[in-house]
Amino acid sequence: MNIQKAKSLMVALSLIATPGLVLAQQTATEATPAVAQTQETPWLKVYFESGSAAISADQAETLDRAVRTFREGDPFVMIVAGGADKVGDPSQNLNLSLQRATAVATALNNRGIPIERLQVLGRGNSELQVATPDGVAEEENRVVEISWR
Amino acid sequence: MRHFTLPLAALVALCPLLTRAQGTGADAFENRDFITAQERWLEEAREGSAEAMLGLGLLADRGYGQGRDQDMALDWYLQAATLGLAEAQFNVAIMYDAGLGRPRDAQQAQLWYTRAALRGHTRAQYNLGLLFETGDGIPQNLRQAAYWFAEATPELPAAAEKTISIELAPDLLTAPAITFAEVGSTGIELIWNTSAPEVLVEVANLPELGETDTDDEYVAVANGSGLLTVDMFQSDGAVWRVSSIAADGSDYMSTDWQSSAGEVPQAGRITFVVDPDISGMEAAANIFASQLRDDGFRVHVERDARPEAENYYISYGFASDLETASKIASYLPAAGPVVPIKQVVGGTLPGEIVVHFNAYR
Repeated sequence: MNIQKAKSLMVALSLIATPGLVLAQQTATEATPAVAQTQETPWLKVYFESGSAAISADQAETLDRAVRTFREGDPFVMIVAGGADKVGDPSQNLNLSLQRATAVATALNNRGIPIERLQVLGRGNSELQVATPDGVAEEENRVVEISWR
Repeated sequence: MRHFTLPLAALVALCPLLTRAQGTGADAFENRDFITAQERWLEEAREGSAEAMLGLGLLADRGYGQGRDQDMALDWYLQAATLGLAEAQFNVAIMYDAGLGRPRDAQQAQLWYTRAALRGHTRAQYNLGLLFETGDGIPQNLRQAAYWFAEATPELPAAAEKTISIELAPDLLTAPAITFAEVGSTGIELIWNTSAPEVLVEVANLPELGETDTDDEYVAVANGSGLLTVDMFQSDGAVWRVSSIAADGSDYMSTDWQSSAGEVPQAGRITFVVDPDISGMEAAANIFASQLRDDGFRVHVERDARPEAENYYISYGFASDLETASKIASYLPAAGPVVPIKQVVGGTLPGEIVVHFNAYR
């Protein structure tokens, strides 16, 4: 499935499922078992604390997982897209989301992903994983999504 | 776009010389002309180019110039990987590790990561460390994890940050298991599983029929999970084995001796030490050596002056070799009822029996 479809699926599922990396991904694969087993599902999520762009130790495992799926060679590209929840003003959140994405990109580079294979994006409060009113903390929105093709 | 490239491709196909003169598959790929890249790479691959096979794998993997086909990608990667191209070996490992288009195969991932890691591929070294650290489908092995993270450390900050605490539990001495072996034109590549901190690798050329001896031997201590040698003799008659040695050096456990044709049990390895100044001693030793060689032993004759206070004896280094030492004693003349046999730890290879002729009085 392409990335756009996958993201919509993730958003839909996270509205009804309990937030949390493992459960969300399990739900995604259970929903479309045939596809998940035969095709690559090229995305992973790194979660962040409110207002922070620091990658915690338990989230570092996700980065190790990413480098164990990413082939080597010119055609492959890894896209790191950061987000922020709606606590604080949008301009700060745009900055924060970019800091988060940059932190993840640096950490991936530290694990061997060449810089020339990386794309870094800050989404700020646009295209939230979970729609919320202003000022609402939501863990699913404090993510950096790692995808690749 | 398509209807412009099609006639060009047809023209190019009709003029093979023109294709060649214009460039390689890599050139076309760099220009983002994937159709031409594929055509050229197919030709180069037919001529045995591992880089071209890798390129075809990349096209299939990414779905450039064709529909995405990860089975085909793996096929091409494997062809290039088998020829020894580290980048392809790494991609093969990734596809098995991530379970792309097929069930995950951790053992194949471990094997192909190791082949690339032995060739200095940094990402492979780090990923292999992760695989050993997590024990994700293979037995966890923190020593090997630490080894491979250390190999990757000069280049990868994440490897440098890995701190592994290895419990210093007393090691249960177990034989390693060889999972891959290939003798090529430049040397030998061996990959093994072991829980020991280090292993001893021995590779030897077996003498041809009629030859008395060959000194072609390679011995190395390794504390990783594989070995790749260069500048080594190439031989169809090469045999090898991998041994774990006990921490106090008193015993060992080995794989069987193996060759490209399978297991090649060896009767044993004997060193005769002779004093060249004692008339007739070396000649006598050579006679015994020749008899023992007929029975399948590998025998070397060394020269050393007679020691001051000792008498003729046989020694062995490792507890497991007492039996072989006794067997060899029965071949040899003795001053008394039997030749004395002693264990002397250190200075011998596993299985090596030393006959101290030079002490004969």
